[in-house]
Amino acid sequence: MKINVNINGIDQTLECAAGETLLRVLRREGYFSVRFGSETGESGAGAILMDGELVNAEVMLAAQADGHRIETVEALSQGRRLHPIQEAFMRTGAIQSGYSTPAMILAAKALLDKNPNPTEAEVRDALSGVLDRETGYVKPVQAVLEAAAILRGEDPTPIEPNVLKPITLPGRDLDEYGDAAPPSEPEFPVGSDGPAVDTRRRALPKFVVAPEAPDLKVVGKPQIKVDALKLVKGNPAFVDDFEMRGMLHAKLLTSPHAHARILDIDDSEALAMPGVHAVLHYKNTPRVPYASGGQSHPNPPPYDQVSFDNKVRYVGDRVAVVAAETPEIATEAIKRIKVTYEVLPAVFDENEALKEGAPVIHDEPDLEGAYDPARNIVHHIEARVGDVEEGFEKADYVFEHTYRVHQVQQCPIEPHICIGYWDADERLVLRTSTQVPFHVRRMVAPLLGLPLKRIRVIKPRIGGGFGVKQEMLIEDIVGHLVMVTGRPVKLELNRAEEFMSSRTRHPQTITFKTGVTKDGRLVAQRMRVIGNTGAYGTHGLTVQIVTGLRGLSTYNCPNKEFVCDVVYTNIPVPGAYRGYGAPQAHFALESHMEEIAEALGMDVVEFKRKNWIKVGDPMDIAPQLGERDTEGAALPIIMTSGLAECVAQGMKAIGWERRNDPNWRQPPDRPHIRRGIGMAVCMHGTAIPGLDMGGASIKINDDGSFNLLVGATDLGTGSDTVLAQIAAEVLGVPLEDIIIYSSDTDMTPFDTGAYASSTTYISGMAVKKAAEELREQIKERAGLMLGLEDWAGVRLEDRRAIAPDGRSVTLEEVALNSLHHQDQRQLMATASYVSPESPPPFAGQFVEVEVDIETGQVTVKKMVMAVDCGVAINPITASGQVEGGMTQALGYAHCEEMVYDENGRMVNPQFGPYKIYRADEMPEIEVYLVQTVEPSGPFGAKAVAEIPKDGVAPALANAVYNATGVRIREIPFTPERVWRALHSC
Amino acid sequence: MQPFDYVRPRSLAEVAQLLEEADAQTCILAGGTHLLPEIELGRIRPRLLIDIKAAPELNELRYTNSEGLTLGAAIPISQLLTSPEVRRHYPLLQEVARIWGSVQVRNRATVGGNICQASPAADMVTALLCFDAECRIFGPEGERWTPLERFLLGPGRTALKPNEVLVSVRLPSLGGKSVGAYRFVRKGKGGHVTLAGVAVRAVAISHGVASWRMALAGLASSPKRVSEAEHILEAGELNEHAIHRAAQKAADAAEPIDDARASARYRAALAPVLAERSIRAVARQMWGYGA
Ligand SMILES: Cc1cc2nc3c(=O)[nH]c(=O)nc-3n(C[C@H](O)[C@H](O)[C@H](O)COP(=O)(O)OP(=O)(O)OC[C@H]3O[C@@H](n4cnc5c(N)ncnc54)[C@H](O)[C@@H]3O)c2cc1C
Ligand code: FES
Repeated sequence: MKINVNINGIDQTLECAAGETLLRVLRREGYFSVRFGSETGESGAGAILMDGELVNAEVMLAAQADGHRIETVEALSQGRRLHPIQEAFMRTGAIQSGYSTPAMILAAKALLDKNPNPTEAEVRDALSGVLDRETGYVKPVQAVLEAAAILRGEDPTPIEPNVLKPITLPGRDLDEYGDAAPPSEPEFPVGSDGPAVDTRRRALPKFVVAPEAPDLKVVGKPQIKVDALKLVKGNPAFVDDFEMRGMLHAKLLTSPHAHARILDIDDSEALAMPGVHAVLHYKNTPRVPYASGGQSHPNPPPYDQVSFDNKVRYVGDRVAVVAAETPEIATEAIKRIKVTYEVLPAVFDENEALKEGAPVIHDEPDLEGAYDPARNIVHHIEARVGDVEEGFEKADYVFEHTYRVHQVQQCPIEPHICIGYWDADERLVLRTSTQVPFHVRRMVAPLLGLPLKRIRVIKPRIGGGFGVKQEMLIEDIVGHLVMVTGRPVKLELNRAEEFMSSRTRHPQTITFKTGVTKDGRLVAQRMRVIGNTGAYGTHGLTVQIVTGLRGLSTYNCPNKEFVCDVVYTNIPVPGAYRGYGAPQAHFALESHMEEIAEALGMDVVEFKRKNWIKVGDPMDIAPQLGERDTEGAALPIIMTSGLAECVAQGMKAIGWERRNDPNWRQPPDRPHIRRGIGMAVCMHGTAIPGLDMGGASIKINDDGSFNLLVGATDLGTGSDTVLAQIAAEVLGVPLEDIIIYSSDTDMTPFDTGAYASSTTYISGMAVKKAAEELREQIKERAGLMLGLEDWAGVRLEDRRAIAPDGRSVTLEEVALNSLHHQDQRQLMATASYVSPESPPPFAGQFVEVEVDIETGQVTVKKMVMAVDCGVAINPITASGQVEGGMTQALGYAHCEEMVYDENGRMVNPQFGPYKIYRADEMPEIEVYLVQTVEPSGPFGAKAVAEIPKDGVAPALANAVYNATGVRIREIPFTPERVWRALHSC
Repeated sequence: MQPFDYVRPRSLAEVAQLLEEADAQTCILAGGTHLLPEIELGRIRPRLLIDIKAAPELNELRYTNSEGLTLGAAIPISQLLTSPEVRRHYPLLQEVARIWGSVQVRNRATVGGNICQASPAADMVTALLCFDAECRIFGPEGERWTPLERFLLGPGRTALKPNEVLVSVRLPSLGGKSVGAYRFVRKGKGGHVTLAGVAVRAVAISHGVASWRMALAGLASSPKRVSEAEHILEAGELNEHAIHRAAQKAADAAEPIDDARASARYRAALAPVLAERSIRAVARQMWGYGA
């Protein structure tokens, strides 16, 4: 059929099928800013304006738009001039991956066109239909308020860094208070209905500056992201924004059974359909066992997956794939594949799976590297320091509590997607949404039977990862299909598949047993973990190792023991999820520590402070719980910690002392409400020591600009920006002179990938080293040009090389000289870095709640996190990481859960039923960056990306306890769970 | 999405004509926020969609003192937010529209779609029940009217016969100050699944006397009126005792079920709590007490 629409001011007649969504037709016409987020529309990534009103193009037929006026973000910017909303999004750091940014900008425009002077609550309502998994909505809301002010003709106050005095005494870790005694009220009390001017300050975090911090030009400054422009304009940048002639569409057939043997597959009817090019399954693909987790060589065992198996182990497991001319044909063909299953009994709970007589999930003969598959035990991990039994003997009191953490999904708004094709040299190119392009290339090669050198993996912009894309998940399927059909092939998971057939977070049962002395010192601590790795091992070993490491490192204790079983079950597969085992550990540990303090009658913070690890203390269990064998190496020591200051700042910001005021806890005018405040201490790692490696190379161009090539993978986290900032700082140029290109296995040096909070620290150091080497070459050349005997004193500043006597040459002159004029050579350098250490970032997490004791509804009013991440290379992107991380963590603690029926089928694989926080539901968020200067990191940096995932669940549990006196040892805190706990039923 | 045909009739007469030829695989398309995902997920496989958004009779929002409020089945939920008449006479509808879905969904989803989807937890339907809404239905046999209460027959089931369409709902005029409240529990405040909700509305008759309505969401197989509670509230002075008794009637009327979102037991416990809160909120707005 034909439809007449006006798109961005131009009348058009478009050809489309009656059943086509508007999203698909707009994308076909080249409006790539309109993006897929969910087939049911709840993500809002496909929002457009129709007759000025915001609507979701994902859940509209193109036919319904006939006769209407449509606007997309492409219309907002004429040439290079941006709309004020776009500029505000760039300036405030409201963009992370940028996948949903166009939708947010349109939502803002629809609001501001009608209401030029909105309150914060109105802005939040306007954004409420666009789900964001990255920013915690803090900066987008700021951006809209700021844009509103500018459109009204006001001149909003510029964003100034908010520098605070330290509370604890500087330079010491003695936890004594200095003279800046905490005032009891937060400085900027802002309600969610507060006027714009109050909230504009929040785009930047508050700082506590370390006196020894270096004074720098580009590093440490709130720079606009290097990729912001293309993202704010909605330019084609993501995997799906790339089209190829003759591209086939792939569709998966997944298992309807939690556990079954496939007796036969009959694909004849599907293959006979016109337009179907291939149907692949266990009968026609090579059987090569592998482990899918995107990790360094050799991949940790077990090798328990094959591209297509004759057994399925969870609802959503791969059975077959079809490649066809259109998605519709592929979907239809899937239905015509006849599969004969022998359904087997299934088990879902990790404790049940360990019992005698439980169904055996992996009985295949070629399984490699599982500990005791007949009992469903994939790994058994033990680590100990001292002797816990002896310690329990000596203790005055011994406490034991068991906690349970559940399964959630990472929910990147862009699902997994991969496009594969043969290039002109008949090499396989995989353009894929991954965090680990180099691992993918290495891991996919043997499955396809192609030599590694015939594979190129490109990671374009990606719409969020959070660990779920630290996996070789669909690239093997696409590779097989390209090889079989000879055609370009695209496979994109839909939202339900993203939930059920990709990766999730490990559920665990955690028991802590702790012996303490009367005066509150830990003498023995045992942590017993049963980790549920679902149908396949993938990250099962390393995630539970991190659980043990994080569970037993925050507090000093002479006797420690970690015992863990990682077990197979028939649930969708857990993998890597930002935090990687640490959020689970923190929930149990920080709840348990509070329970002990409570029983001892000690102040919670005092008790924790007494025991927490301090500068100079060894991390004694770390060598046994490392990924690389470091036996015999020296114990890692804490070099920097701002923990005491973080906790002091957090207490002040949240108004900690209110938790002891009964009148505040139980407001007299609202009898069914109880209020409470809780806290958690957080400690994380920075990269995997001795294993994570990043490479960088950098060269100068004729005009004195630089190309920086890095293997590091920017997921929207801003690592491209941070790495470019580091190069700019070293080379004495503004950020715009660094042209960065990242993660393309043909073009850039190797990098292990974006995981384990490693990029700034590891890849950042590689960039710093490469830039420093190039700086020496530039200095030498400048010396030659200026006729200096000794060029060591030359410094690079303001795009010039300046001699000690004040004479200088520009970098452009240096470049022209070296490339064209004399003794020609390309000034360039390459470096890589691997760290022997993993300096921990620290944080204090605080949460304020209201609990409705009649309904069990918990409302989180405020979250404060004070983080010591060393020197933040870019405070805007760093605080963005904290805000977004805390928001994900809040979902984990409060409302997100994968719910199953009795057959193991997930019943809520859809946003909405699977509840993630919206803009209008957010509590107030405050971020404090407490600086320390980490000697091993680039410009003093440590990691920041994962630590915000750690503390929210325990702080929430502790706040609910403070409010109600009821201890809940299981997340999430859904209304019904809390109600049951309050009413003991 | 699987192939199907699409038509957009320009009047109720055209709609009716198309429906006359309709078979089981013909679906009415309003906002599409429920229907299109169902098709996409393969749960419904229609042959023809009839888009009703272009028929003027289904798109009117009209208020007169004599006839009350007419809401065309195809008007989007967002339109309730901008209508001054709705604000003045039926503020409960605005309160519910404000917490209904998100901007985009409110701009597309329709009043009629919320009714015809027949979800037990439909928030707007629950509010409409508090206004004695009457459904105007059109089909091969012409027009008929039925009270909303009798239109709803359980999850996904309505009194519509195969070839009929819901044209509009009419809410009688109220003749006095009208206030309302809707208290509910969801996993989060937004998000579209109400675990349980209670809507209450009162219209002032004379000093201290009002006519009351109460309806439940998520607490039975369809949104449901609680006339026993209404009688108690209307019977005499609104004191603590009456409030408690009325709230208890909400609990008695509830017939909740266990599902993946909440247990019947929890839902049952919510019914009197939410009912009491809604009654108090209404009393507070009406007379400044009852809190
Ligand atoms: C993100 C999101 C948030 C939501 N939030 C809420 C919420 O807060 N509260 C709530 O109650 N619901 C909510 N909903 C769900 C809502 O129940 C439905 O999606 C919506 O009411 C359907 O309206 P529609 O106009 O889009 O109907 P459609 O999807 O077009 O139709 C729904 C059904 O009704 C039939 N139908 C529609 N109109 C007529 C008519 N006039 N005559 C006969 N049959 C008709 C259709 O054939 C179809 O079977 C939400 C949905 C989404 C996607
Ligand atoms: S999963 Fe993203 S850094 Fe660890």
